[in-house]
Amino acid sequence: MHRFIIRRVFQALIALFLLSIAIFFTSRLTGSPCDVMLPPEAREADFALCEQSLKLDSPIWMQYLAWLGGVLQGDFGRAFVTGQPVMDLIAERLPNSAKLGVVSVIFTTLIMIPIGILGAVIKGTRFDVVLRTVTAVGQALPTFWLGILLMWFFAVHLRWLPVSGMGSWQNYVLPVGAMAWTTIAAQSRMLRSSMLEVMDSEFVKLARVKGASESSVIFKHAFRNALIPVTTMVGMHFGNIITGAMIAEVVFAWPGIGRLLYEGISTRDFPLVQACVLVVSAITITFNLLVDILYAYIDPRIRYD
Amino acid sequence: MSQSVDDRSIPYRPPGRGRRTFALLAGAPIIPLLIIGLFVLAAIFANFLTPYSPTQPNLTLRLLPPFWVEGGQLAHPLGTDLLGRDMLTRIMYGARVSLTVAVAVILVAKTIGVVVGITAGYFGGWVDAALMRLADATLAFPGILFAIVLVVALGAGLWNVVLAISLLDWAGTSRVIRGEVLSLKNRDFVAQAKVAGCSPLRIMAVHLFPNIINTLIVLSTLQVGSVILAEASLSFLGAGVPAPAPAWGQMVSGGKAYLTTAWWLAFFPGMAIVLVVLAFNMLGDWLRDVLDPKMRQV
Amino acid sequence: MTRPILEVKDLRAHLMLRRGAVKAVDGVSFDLHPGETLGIVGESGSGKTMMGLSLLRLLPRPAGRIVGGSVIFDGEDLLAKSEREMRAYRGSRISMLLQDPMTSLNPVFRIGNQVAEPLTIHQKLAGRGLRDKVRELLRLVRIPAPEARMSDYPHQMSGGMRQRVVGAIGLACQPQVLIADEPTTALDVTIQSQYLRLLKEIQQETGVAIIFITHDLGVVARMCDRVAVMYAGRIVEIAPVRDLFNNPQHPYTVALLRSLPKLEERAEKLYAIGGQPPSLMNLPKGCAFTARCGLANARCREAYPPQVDIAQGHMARCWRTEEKAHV
Repeated sequence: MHRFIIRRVFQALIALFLLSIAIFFTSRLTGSPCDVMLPPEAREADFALCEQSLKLDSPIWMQYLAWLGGVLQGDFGRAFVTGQPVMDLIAERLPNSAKLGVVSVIFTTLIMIPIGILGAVIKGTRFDVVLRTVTAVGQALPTFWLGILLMWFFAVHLRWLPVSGMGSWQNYVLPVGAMAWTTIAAQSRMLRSSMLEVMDSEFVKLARVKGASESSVIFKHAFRNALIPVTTMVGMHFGNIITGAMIAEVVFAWPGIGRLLYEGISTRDFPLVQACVLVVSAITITFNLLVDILYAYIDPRIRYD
Repeated sequence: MSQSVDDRSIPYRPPGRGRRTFALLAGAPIIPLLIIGLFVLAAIFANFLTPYSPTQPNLTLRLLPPFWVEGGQLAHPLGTDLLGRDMLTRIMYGARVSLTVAVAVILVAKTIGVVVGITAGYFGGWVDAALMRLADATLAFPGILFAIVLVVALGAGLWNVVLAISLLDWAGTSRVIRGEVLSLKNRDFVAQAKVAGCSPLRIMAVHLFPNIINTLIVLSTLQVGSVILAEASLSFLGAGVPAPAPAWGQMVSGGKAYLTTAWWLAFFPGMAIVLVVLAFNMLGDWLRDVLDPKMRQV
Repeated sequence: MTRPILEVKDLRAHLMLRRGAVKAVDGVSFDLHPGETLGIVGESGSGKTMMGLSLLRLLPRPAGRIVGGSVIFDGEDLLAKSEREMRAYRGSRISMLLQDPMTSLNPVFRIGNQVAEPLTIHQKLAGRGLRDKVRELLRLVRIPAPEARMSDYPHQMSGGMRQRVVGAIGLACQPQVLIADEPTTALDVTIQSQYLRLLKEIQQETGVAIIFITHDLGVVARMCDRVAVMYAGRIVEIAPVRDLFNNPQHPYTVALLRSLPKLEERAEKLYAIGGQPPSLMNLPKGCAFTARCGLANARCREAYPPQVDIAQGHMARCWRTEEKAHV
């Protein structure tokens, strides 16, 4: 198990390294990086300063190291609009995103599991058809559209919930609802089909032969095996989850890092965008690592790989 | 090495497939196909189907509601937007954007995915390990973010969007194709081709590739939905295909501020997205049942 | 003659498919006595596995359904029991060994856990008592170093070992009847031999009655006291094993024995029974073996043959045999 963890950590580090190289090169795609790193109203002197600090006269690998050094110390440059160091902005907004993210993950998992299991157990009945239709539609809904509809219905029309912003628990309801919907739909479908496959397997038959109760068969024997393919997919779908979070922040004006990124896009603020992407990607890679470790905990066959 | 023996080695096809496929085609899902057909037609023939321009403002007709609401006109069935442009027209041209991006991404991403998958599966060893590590690294971070970085660095544009979304997708495809190739390469027809002197390239292209086409079709169809959603998300965030070309996501974004006064601005483009994505997903599910049942939804 | 521990009378089980009903088990009757081994022989598709599952009422849902007959176990009709009552029987008084050791153990739980489960369910053992019993069971099936093995996962064991674990699970609560569904088919030949010897020894030690489902006549000769031959969902002949091999009466049995290659004879071609078994959805009116039987006549096609008693404990269902018996 330990060897497995070490290997995965090593792979994650390599992924981070490749990521940093990729991001590093994006600023040099159209010529001098200073063209994108400085706001449009920058003057000659600013350019000179920029070129000096980025060491543009030295070989490319030294530039990379200089850049990497800056990044690891938290120096991402300054935002165009406010002139603040980007790192400060990120530090301010990141905890807000974390709160939304954690609530969302918990909510998604708590809802997804019963729906997935239920879908497998009631297969063939009329309710199954209804459930499958609802989840199929759920997967096709764009998060931003759903968010807007929810906002209109619950906040504007019914006035039950606040329209936007961060505040009390009520502010969490709509963004989490919008974000979670697609993920719940996709994952519960996967869990359902995985459960159906597992329920047909020989070891489930053996569990029945032993005289185990039906609920033991479903929740103890089948469920844990059914989780295995679903967990692998969670890692792969994490990109979608991040996008969904970002969009929810934009729709509901949640002061998180996603919204910060959006602001960066609107103002074509490269230092800000670059920093946000780096931070979020690093978080994604870390999260994938954790999911892999969780996966090894669920499926013992992987530990001895 | 003589190629004449190779010319007569017939690529392997499982027997009776034609007949089975035909029988199952009879049960094709009509509604998704109709929906897709409608949108494809709209995308291709938009110029002929609507007299209005999607980009030309007409300030006298701003913010008309849909025809069934008071104040609406039949001439503009889904209403007009902030600049007086007909909504239905913009949705049709928006279909052009979304479907073009989808086709382009599928072509690029699936080509890369298939090449990588077949190569990794066939050669195995360090080639396989290296390619799959690369794929895993790509999967590890959200491509949308990378798309955003590209757009801010390079400026908006169709090909930036296509490139970025393709980078998201190829890794998943290559894994699935690699799996298929792994199970195929030990079969007798591959051994036979090797004995006949086929080069690895020929084996991969002529013998292995036709047997993964089914999986490829299913993967592609299922992927269209998520590509359209990705493109819509990007254009919602302002990092998609640039104005003034109408993109559904960007239309929804623009309509957000007018939610209480002109709900149709945001509603109809979103509805279009849902319909198209749902139709492709349903079609993909059905194709998978017909062509490749063992590739169950996992 | 002691009272049979299991009396099966006219058991019928169907699989309801969209295209029609598959008559997997079509009127099966037999008795099983304590401590004896009854072999059930047949081709794939003859219904033998379905018959085994029917005894435990574990037919695949929702298609499988028992439609008639009775299964009297130790004086009680199992078919009249509720699901809850049935569960008390499964794994404790009647147990089953499944065929493929690679798939019949749950990959995410440790061996000790899986062997302990029937003990936890039926005997409510726990703690040290449970561990001791698990260890004892693993020793019973001759697994070396049982203490260490208890914390292993199935994928860490070979096929032969896994099948022994399956055996330990099956025997955990000292069942009176053990249904062994082709337990050695998926094993290597050398391992097969060891496993069969193990089963025989355990049977002598514990007195369990075994229903041994197989397609392998060689195994039958070795393991069984009596044999029932199944064809198309029905039992066509039952006999003590000696009698079956020396004096087979039903044409199908004869043909089966003929298709066994023999060391002493030289043959150009191995004998195979021509034709295919009938579709279990469309069973013919008369005897199901008619199409492939060299002795078939008009009466065979018309009506299903009755039970013909040839000798003590030897029965066959064949019109031609009936004619011979009356001669």
